[in-house]
Amino acid sequence: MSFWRRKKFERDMEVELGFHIDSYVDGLVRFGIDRGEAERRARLEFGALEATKDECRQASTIARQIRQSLRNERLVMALSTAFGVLALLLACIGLYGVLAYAVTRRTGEIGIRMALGATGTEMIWLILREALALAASGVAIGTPAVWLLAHLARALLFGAGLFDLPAFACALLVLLVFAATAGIVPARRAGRLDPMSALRCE
Amino acid sequence: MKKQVELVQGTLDMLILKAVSLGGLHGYGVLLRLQQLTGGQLQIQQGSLYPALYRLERQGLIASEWGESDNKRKAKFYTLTAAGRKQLKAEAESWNRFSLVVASVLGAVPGGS
Repeated sequence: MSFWRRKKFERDMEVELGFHIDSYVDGLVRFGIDRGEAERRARLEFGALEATKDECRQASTIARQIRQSLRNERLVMALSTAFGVLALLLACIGLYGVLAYAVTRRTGEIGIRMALGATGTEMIWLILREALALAASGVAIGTPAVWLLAHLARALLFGAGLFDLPAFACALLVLLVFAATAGIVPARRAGRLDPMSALRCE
Repeated sequence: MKKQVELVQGTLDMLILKAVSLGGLHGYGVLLRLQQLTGGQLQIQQGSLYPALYRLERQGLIASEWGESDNKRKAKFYTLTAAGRKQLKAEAESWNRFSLVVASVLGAVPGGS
């Protein structure tokens, strides 16, 4: 416990126990007992004051010490989470940009395909496939990277193996879902293109 | 010997949870309410309430907040948390079961089944 927290704890405890004893004394006095006698009885019935304080200190410090010793780890955890979310967001924006550009670039091609009888759904898949291919190449690069970085992270993470399958599967799923979400907007645009205006835009 | 102390301690914790569950209280209020609920039959070393309160707060079963008492003094008030409510329910159930079992043993009569 830091110096100031300990000080505050002691002060609070002093006030709390003082309030108890004073209230008890006041009660006895109201009952018609002489104040000196009431104070003597209050002390007796409260029990050893210093021992009680010690027990209170013990009862409350252990949890605080644990919380404090984990403060750095919590900070690292919060920062990693924040950076992870940021990275995911940037990847989504990037993926969206690339695919939106691809749709614009291939507007003529999509127009021809649709004029020749391809459906809107097929065009959605055309673009979405590209999104998933990009995501898959990311996974292909990321998997060995995870394996390499896990060596470094092992020092920080208690009980984490070199290849934590559930965590990895979760991350994979989240990434694919976000890739699909980022891809679905331009893909739908491709699916809704009017073939005639698409052909004319070349 | 150690077991006995722990049993008493566990019981005190449960009684405190119960007292606090009936409405927020300061430590002295817990004592008054316990005396009132037991008709003064329970001998409680008053000081022993506080380590128990601090322990319960540490365990997240009760929460504390500074407020003003009836006599306009600064006092720390305790309230039951959701976890405390759950714990009280579990402890009360196991206590009831335990006391039923003990009562049925003590109630046995010679020759009876």
